[in-house]
Formats: sequence, structure tokens, C-alpha cells
Amino acid sequence: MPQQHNNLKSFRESFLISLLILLLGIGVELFMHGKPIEIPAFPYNLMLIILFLVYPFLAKLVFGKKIVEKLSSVPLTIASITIYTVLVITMGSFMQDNPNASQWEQMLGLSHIARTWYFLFISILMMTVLGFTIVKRLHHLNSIRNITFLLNHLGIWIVIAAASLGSGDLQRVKLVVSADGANHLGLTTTHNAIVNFPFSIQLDSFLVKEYQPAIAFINPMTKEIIDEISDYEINKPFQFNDWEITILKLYDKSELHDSVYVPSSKIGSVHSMLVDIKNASHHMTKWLAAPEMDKKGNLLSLNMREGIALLPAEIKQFQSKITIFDSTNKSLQALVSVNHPFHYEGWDIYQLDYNEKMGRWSTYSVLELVHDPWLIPVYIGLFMLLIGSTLLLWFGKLK
Amino acid sequence: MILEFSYIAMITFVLWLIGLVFFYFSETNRLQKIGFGLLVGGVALFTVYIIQLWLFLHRAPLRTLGETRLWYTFFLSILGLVFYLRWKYKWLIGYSFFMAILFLAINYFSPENFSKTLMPALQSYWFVPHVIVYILAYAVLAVSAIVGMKGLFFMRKKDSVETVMLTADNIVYMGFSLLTFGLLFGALWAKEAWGHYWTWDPKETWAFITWLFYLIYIHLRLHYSKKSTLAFWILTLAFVVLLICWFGVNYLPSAQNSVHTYTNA
Repeated sequence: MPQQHNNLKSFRESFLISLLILLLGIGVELFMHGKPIEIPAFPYNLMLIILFLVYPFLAKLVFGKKIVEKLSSVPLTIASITIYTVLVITMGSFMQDNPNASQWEQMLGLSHIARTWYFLFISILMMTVLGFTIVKRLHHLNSIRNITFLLNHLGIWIVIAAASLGSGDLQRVKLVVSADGANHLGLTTTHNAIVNFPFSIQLDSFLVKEYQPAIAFINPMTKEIIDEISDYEINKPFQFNDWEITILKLYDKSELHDSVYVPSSKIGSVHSMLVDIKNASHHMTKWLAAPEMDKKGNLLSLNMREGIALLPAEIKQFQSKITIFDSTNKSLQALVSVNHPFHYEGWDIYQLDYNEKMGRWSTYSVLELVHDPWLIPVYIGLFMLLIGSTLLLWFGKLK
Repeated sequence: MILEFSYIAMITFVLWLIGLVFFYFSETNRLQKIGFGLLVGGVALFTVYIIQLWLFLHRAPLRTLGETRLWYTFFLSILGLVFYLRWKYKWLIGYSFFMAILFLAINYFSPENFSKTLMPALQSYWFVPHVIVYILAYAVLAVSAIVGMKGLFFMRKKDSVETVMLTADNIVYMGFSLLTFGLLFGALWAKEAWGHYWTWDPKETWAFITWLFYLIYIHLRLHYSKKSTLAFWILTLAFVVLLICWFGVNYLPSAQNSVHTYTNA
């Protein structure tokens, strides 16, 4: 039966301890002038995790059961999580990694809270309480309640430990690739440091699939969009107010030639359509072109209140067809698209960006290469949390 | 296409409406069961519609906003039934089916928005699961907030705080688990889409804060069951945080560059 007497005293005590640790952390942060913490790389981060894993058991051995009770008490749990939450709220309120952060924001670490000493200290406090809580319950694997408890608590411990300490070995590198030769030099996203890859990547082609541009009905005076149609078809008439509109010709890549659009594959070619527009008193056949690169497209005014134009086509998918050359000049072809990274030699290659001004005519593609050796332990923790949460969802609060 | 959406939507709506009426307002157990059966029937019909749409399109119907709404209708109705069978809270049925019908109605009344396209970042099998668990979590936790406010402002001396608290606890466990799924699905998706499972993006951060508030509530309730007023306050406050996460993030100056500031998703 949980202890309910003296709980006010132990709550006060726990909050006091947590606040003291927070203040200590703020003190160290100020002393270090708000310089962000860098998590050490392998093997030091692994050593820290092992130390962190082992010390609850050591403490139990040396100091006995009492220390386990004290450091896994519910008041201390609630106090440490509460202070941790306050810090995360601060993180959600101040722009993180803000290049225009004021001096005092930088000094106090408010623009990079996840890499401050006070966040580290409170995280260690919270993980300590979590660690001792797990150790206390490890012997009882005999009920759904305990299994759920262990899956959730151990799961979150593994995720936080592996994710934080693993960040010491995480590498995220931007690599610009184009058709003029293979590139092997990238820049890290955090420090803009140069990374020399043991392989090089060349862009064979940058493929952009677009949706057909929407036809917009616009007020020519106010330029306000009155209505839009995206799912039109060639030779299928449709109505807008009293106008009947039929699309006679539709090109996704075309250029203007003697007042007429003709199919073209030149860079900067535009979406265009030939429309037949009629109502009781007017009938016309005109060309419409969608905005592309620095071309603005055209607005066809039907009268003072109604006009018709094409909106810029929206992107359906963009992907890079690449060739990867290894150090022996052996090559491998791959396709990288959004939500579909390509895995190569310990690196995950992502489609990040392209020349937005040129859009589908972009001559280069920006890839992001990510190396995260600690991903597996993080996923193990996530998987445990998934199972633990499913059990929690089904069984709820078990006695 | 063999099955036309507007007819299916109409029939499904009628089945569900009659089902709900029988379920809530009938006197006999038998009629209630018929109501439940009609709800299941509507779900079965809708399932058939989705399957044939999938076959017709030769791909999963997951590329337009309208198509994703079909899945919301599907999951909200099915999970409403499942959670009712598990927890026996009658309000769960009305609640989930109301939301399912809402998404059905949106699709029915704006067919031109049906084909409104999804941007590349959202074209993923993770999209629907991630959004569904959050819709459900928010809906369930909204109920817990109502219970919290009932506990704070509308309890009379003779009412049993215990039963109200027990209801709140069950609802929070449901909502919290769903919030956890939301965070986990989001992290797994982020790794596929953006290269890393957690980047302290404002939306992620506030989703985490919401999760932490309910975590604090759960721990307080496990060991300090007598502190009901404090528990009710945390429940209400946690929901405010949830609302900040849901709507407020889009207005935060720190969030303007976030990948989560969607405009018409």
C-alpha cells in the first residue's frame, strides 16, 4: 500500500532537491557562458551509458535497499518530471537554434535548451529516478501489470538514453549533386563542417511530377480568387457562372511561338492550355499559361468581375536518380524520393531540397545523408513502448 | 467505378443514424443490439467501398485529402465500436460516430475538394495512422477535461468523487496510450521523411509537453488518490496544453519554419 502520510513533507523535499539541481545547472550554464554541450562520440558515449546502466545496481549493493526507495519515490518522480516539463515548455516557447537570439538568450542557453547544463542535470535526475524505479520492479515479472510497467519504463529509459548519448555519433550531412560530375564533399547541418565521403554521388536526372495546374477564376480588379478547378479533362466542358468552358489543348511543357503555344522540352517550358469560352453574348478561344520560373503566366479578363488564369502547378513528387561511385569506381544506381530514402554503406540518403526558383527545371538536387549508429537501440526502446502502450490501452489501470 | 461514393455515403449515414437512435433511445436490450448491428452494417458497407476503390485505383487511396478523410471515417467508426466493446462507455459510440459522420459529410458536400492533392511529404503510409491516433486521443482527452471540470465546478457534496475519478482515470489511460502512439508513429515517420526521428520541432515539443502533463496526472493518481482537486486541475490544465499544441503552435513566432505548419491539411 503506497505511503500517504508525510506526503506533503516528501513532496516539498523532492521539489526542493529538484529545484536545487536545476539552480546548480543554471549556475554551471552561466559559468560556461551558455556554450552548448557537445555529447561525446564513441566510445565515450557508450562508456557513459554503461556507467548509467550500472550505477543503480552498484548503489543498491553499497547503500542497500533504502537508497533505491529514496531515489525511486513517487514525490521525486513527480517533482523531477514537473521541472523537466517546465524546461520543455521553455523550449517550446523560445525559438530553438535561433540565429538572431539575443545575448541573454544565448548566455542562459534559452535558444539551445536541449544542450544546456541545467537540462542535462534535470534529465540525469529524471533518468536516475526512472532507473531506480525499474531496478525495484525488475524482480516482479509475474503479472500483466508489471510487464506493462517494465515495457513502458524500460522502453522510455532506452529511448532517452540512446537518443541523447547517441547524438554524439549522429551525422547529418547535406550534399549538393548535379549532372556536372560526382560530388563527395558535403556540409554538416549543425556546424557546416566539411565531410569527405569515401564515395561520390552524381545526379543523373532530377524528376518532378506535378499535378495539372488548377484553373482559377479571379476578379481582375481585386485579384481575389473566386473559385478553382483541379480535376478538369480535355474536351469535357464545364460551367463557371454563365460561362461554358472547354479545354481544347493541354500541354505540360510548352513555349510561346507566334502567339501560339507549342510543345517544347526547353528549360523553362510552361504548362499551357487552349480554352474555348462562351456564354450567351461572347465566344472566344484563348491560350492560358501557368506561372513557371520567372514567367508570370497570364490572366484573361472576361469582364470587370471575372477573369480566368492558371495557377502554378503543385508538386506531386520530386526525386533524384543518382549514381553512386565507390572508391574503386564501381557504380550503383539509385532513386531517392521524399518518404523513400536509399540506404548505402551505413548512410541513409534523403531527398531534401532543390533549386526552388527553377522548380522542375532545377539542375541540382540537395540530398541529406544521415549516419545514426544508435538507431537500433532507439528503435528497440520505441518498440517496447509500442507494446507497453497497447497493453495500457487495452487493460487500462490495473490493480 | 461500380459503387458511387455519394450513394454509399448516403446509405452509410442512414444506417448509422438509425443505428445510433436505436442504440441510445430504445427501451429493450434487443432493439439496442439491433442498433449496434446497424452501426456494424454501415461500417461493413463502407469497408467494401474502400476495398473496391483501392482495386479500381490500382493503388492505396491515400493520395488526396478526400481519400485520407475516407480512412478517418473508417477508423473512427471501427475504433469507436472496439473501444465501446472494451470499456462499455455508451458515450464513446456517439462520440466516434459523430466524428466519422462529420468526415463523411465533408467528403459528400465538397466533391471538388475530394481530389485536393497531398504534398510529397504527406504521401506516406504513416499519414493516416499518425493522424487517426491523434484525432482519437484529442477526442478522448476532451472528455477527460469535461470530467475534470465537472469534478471542479459541478460536484455536489453527495456525489461520489471516487466514481468520477475512476472514469477520468480510464479515459486518461486510453487517451495517454493514444498520445504515445501518436508520438511514436510521428517519430518513425520522421525518420523516413526527414532523416531523424526527433528534432525538437515546435509541434513535436508541444506534443511532448502534452504527453508529459498526462504522465504527471497518471503518477499523481496512482499514489495520491485522495488529492482529487489537484488531479482535476491538472486534467483541465493538461487539456489547455493540448489545445496549445493543436492550434497555438501555428501562431508561435518560433514555429514559422516548422514542417508541421500545414495550411489546408
